[in-house]
Amino acid sequence: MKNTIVLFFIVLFSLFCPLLQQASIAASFGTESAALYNRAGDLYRQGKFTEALDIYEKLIREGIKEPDLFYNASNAAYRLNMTGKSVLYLERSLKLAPSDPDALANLAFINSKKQDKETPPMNAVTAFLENMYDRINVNSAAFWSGMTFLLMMASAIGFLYFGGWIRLTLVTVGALCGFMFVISTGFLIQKVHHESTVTEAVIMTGEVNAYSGPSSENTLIFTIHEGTKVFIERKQSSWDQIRLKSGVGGWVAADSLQAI
Amino acid sequence: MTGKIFGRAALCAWFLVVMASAVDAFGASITITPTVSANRISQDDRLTLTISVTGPDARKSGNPTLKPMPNFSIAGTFTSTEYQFINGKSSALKSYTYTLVPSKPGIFEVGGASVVVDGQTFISTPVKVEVVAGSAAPQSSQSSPSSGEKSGGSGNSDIFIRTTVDNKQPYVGQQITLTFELYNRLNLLGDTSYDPSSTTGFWAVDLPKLTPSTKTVDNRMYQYTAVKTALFPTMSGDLTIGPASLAYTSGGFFTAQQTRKLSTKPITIKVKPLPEEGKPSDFKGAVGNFTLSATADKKELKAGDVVTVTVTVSGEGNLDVLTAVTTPELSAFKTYDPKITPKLSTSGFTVGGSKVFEYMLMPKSPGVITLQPFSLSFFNPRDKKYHSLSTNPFTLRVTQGDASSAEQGSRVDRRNTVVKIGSDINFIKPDKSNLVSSNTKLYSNWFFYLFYIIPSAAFASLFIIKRRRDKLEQNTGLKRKLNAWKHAEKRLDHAARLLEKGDTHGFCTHVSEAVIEFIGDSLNLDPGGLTTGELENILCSHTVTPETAEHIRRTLELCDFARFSSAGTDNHIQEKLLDDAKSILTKLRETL
Repeated sequence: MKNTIVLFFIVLFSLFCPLLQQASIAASFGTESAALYNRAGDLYRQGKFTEALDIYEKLIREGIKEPDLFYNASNAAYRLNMTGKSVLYLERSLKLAPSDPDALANLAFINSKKQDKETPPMNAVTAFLENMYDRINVNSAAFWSGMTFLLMMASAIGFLYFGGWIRLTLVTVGALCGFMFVISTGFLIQKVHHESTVTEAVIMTGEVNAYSGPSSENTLIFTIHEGTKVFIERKQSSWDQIRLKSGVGGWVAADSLQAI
Repeated sequence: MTGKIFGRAALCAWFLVVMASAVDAFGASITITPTVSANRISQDDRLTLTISVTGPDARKSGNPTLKPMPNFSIAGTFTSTEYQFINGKSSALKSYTYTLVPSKPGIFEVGGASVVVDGQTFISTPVKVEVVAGSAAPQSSQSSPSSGEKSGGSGNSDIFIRTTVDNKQPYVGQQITLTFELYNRLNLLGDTSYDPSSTTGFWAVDLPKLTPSTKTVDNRMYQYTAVKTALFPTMSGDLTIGPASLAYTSGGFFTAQQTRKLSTKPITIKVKPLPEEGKPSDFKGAVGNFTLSATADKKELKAGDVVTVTVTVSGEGNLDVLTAVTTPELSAFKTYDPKITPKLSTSGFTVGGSKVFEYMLMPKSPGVITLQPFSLSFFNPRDKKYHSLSTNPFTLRVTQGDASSAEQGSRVDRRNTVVKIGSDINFIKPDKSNLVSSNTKLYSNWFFYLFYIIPSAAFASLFIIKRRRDKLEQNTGLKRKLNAWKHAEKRLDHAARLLEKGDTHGFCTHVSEAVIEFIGDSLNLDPGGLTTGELENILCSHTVTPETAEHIRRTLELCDFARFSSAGTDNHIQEKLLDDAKSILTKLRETL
């Protein structure tokens, strides 16, 4: 009986990772797209950034969601002084691979060059939590939630059948997994909620005026510059109501920004 | 006695050196201190006067000028120099030791001396010495028959001495050689005491000793001994070399033992000043004939490394007074005080040798640096002209010192932290063989939830099973009741197998036990204590119909009967028993 249970969980564990991996791939685009991608890389290395960016954008339009593709497109855009596009693609890349060190370094670099300053977090704790939250995407939150739950259940079942030091170990592992399960599931729920309610966007044109209402006849509230990340709260005809990270809100023309 | 005097003198000298270094700390660049071997001496004793010149700039100093001491004659001079390098800072101790012979009793001042360094004059405080008239050695009554340099002519004497100089009209700083000669045919007993000539106004350097030989003067053979001293006049004008004297005791088998004293005549030297005409601006008093050379230990180096430039002055002349060579502009370098190593030689009775100046230079910045020549000006008394020497210029290639190569031997850590000069975005990602699109919504996949559902379900069901089993473990009655049917079936199966083997006895036993145990398990009774009669009563009280109870009783009786009679071998009865038992058990399972 005990052996059957242990065997069952081993099978379940060994299925977990590959199955999730399989599930995380939405579609494979084969060697033809890969050849295009590689040719764009060659063009980039030769310094032909415009041609490289054209190919990258063509692939993006095809619907390929691949972090490295966005990353390279961002690089090409940066070389062509298109800060807005560069930030947009970098944010898209980070959404897929939130802890890629190259992408993080580039974002920090571009942010240090652009005109609008990011609002720093209030204190160390919020900074830590915010950083942790930003470094985990929906998929990894889901992965951790499922993984820790599986481990927690396994230890709970083991707790029924084993005694002595094994039981003690299982209690510890189970408690740890339970704690992590609560956090990752919290993140997952928050992320899913955020994705379904808030749209992030990047300012794409040089200087954009934000008004108190959806027309330029309203009072001018502030101006923001290319490359700044904003949150779209509401849409009305060709105007979007946006909010900055600092909490300041206003209406801007919808064509001046692009959703991540 | 002498040991005591020496000890006191040493203590005194030590104290003065300590004092001198203390004064040095307050900024004086030179301290000049006289020390005497004793403060009270008898007229026949000799006094040792030491003038110590110490301080960082001491090696730049020339010879001290002694204040005239009319009541003493200088019997000898001795100089010594010590250099010390501490943390690149050099200091020197120069000692000038004079042996003084008093001429009359009284209290006198000795040790007044002055030294000029960089145009600044440093003067010492004289020391008082008391000379008392005391027991003197037997005074020689015989005047020398052959004093002076022409005394050699009086050939009748068995012993005579003379002093000669090779040049009576030298320039200031030019070497003259003073020779003291002793011609002797006598058998000298005991010690002969020799008083060398006083050489005030000269810088004296002892020349190597001559091996005694024999010389014939006026057909008479003498034992010949000579002592040569190199003298460098320190000032111009008339200078006098004092008389030299020799006291000896002679005697033999046939002659009486007698003590005599011989003296030579003083010699006057006319010292010519150095000509003003053509005197180079960087002339620092070097007289003689010199050569100058310079080498660098490396021509290519890294910034922060040290190059050692060795400048060597060699030739004839008083190198002791040559304290520096003219250095070129060294503002491109961090410089340290040069290390000076003198190598004096007196071969051929000419004072000379070489002096090595080691300059340690650290280039301040990379690039090609030309090190301009080092130079030296001197006066050559032979051709009576000034000469200027200069070395060849060097070109030093200084490369940027790199952080990783810490040079061997250098104790200073000159590594730099890597400084980020530029910044840029990171480069693009490498090529791929396949492009895949990521699914950002893993949570929307149905099977993702299986990983929550399956373990939860597994846990829930296992928990229930476990709980039920635990309950059974605790309740034997219930456990027996739940397992009664299973046991009974097993028994009947066993009985059927025994029947096939032909074991009628065993078959009957198992059939009856299956029935009895089933009743015992179901009602939680001890099956061993159940008799057929009791069984009927118990069954009746547990909602079993009397017909069934009757049926059971008859079946069990038939079993017993069949077990012990030949009826058991009848196939019909056997089958009937098995069918009856099964139908009884089915009925009991429903009712109990």
